[in-house]
Amino acid sequence: MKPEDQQDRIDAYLNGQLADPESFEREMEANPQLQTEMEATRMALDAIHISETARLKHRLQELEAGLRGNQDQPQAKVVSINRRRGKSWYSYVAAAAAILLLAGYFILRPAAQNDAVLAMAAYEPYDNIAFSITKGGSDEVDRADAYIAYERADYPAAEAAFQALSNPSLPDRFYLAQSLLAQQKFAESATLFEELSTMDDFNLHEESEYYAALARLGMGERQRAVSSLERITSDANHASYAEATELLEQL
Amino acid sequence: MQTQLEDTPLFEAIKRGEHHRIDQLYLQHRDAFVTYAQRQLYATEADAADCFQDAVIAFYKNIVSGRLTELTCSIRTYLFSVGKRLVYRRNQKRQRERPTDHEEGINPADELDWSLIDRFEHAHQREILQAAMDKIGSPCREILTLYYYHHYPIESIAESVDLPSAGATRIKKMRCLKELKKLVKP
Repeated sequence: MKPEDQQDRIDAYLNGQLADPESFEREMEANPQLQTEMEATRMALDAIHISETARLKHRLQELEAGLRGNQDQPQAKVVSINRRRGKSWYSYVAAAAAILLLAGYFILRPAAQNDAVLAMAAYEPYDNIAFSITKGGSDEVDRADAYIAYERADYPAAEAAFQALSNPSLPDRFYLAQSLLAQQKFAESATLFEELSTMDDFNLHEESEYYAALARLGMGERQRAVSSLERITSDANHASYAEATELLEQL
Repeated sequence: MQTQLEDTPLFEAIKRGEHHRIDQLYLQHRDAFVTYAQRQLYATEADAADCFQDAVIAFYKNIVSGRLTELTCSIRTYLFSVGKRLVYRRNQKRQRERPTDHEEGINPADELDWSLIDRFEHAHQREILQAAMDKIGSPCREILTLYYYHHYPIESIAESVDLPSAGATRIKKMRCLKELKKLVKP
């Protein structure tokens, strides 16, 4: 057999295109030269794959570097969309106390109010990601007080401080709604979150949609909450996809 | 978001070996994936972007190698499912993963050939193999890459590297492969 024909058969075998691969394998066992060629071909193909994959990777890395370069340009105030996972102990204590209080209360009235317990069990106050970029300047003192109270999980004080702001921003209103929900003021927080969820230019509008569903659940409007959660889980890219999926399973 | 139908022209172009289309794939879906991975998988931006690059390459390789012959969902769904798995692996390595059932159920990533990704992760001879390709030079490097990696027909390779005929290209390819085999022999 000519060397090029042998190579074609080896290529076909490696690509899974040989009609009778078992027969080829038997032939290889009986023919050390063919076996050696097969091994050398495997290594050569590995070299080609490693080299070209590295080249394509480099191409994409350069694209990424270009994107990062653009992102690193100085910009106006940006509210991070990343949710910090670390939480102060105030938040944990406040959340635990709220759940225990509600659970204790609703054990006596289980039928109508279990949804409120569920809502609060699923509720996790959203970390403050706005304060660090909005503080500073005399006009910002009241705003800073509101966020400090929020971070301390002093939600009544945070609510009062956010309500008192003369010109609340969208993030301020989001954290006001959080402060309301943390106090189980479901109806007020639902209205506010629903309003925020319609504002596509607000970077927490998707999160607002989820919290609005939680608030509706707290109000006992289970069907409405389920509809909202289903809408969220229909989009795998939704910011609150995981939380909504988990809650839907419980419902 | 692109639908499966809207993705078809791009899919067909990749099938034809238009490898520069990976730029388009990357730019179209990169931001959504990085945001998703940061929020849902707790990945850093750098890890998310790195994994997404590997996902795009794996997706491309599986198409041109003929393992993925038709779209059964949108390209984004494929890229996300491959990218997610790569992030999970990365998180495991960094011990950052939370419990997950991501290996369960039907997943478009299952349709892909993971050996293309796994094969070289722990290869001891990685550097030697890479160096061998650097040594064979042009046009051998281009001919072998277009034929064995991008799966171009021999006639297109002849055009790409400016050889007079498919027959001449075929002979050249054989010689180049022989040369490479010599270089990589243990």
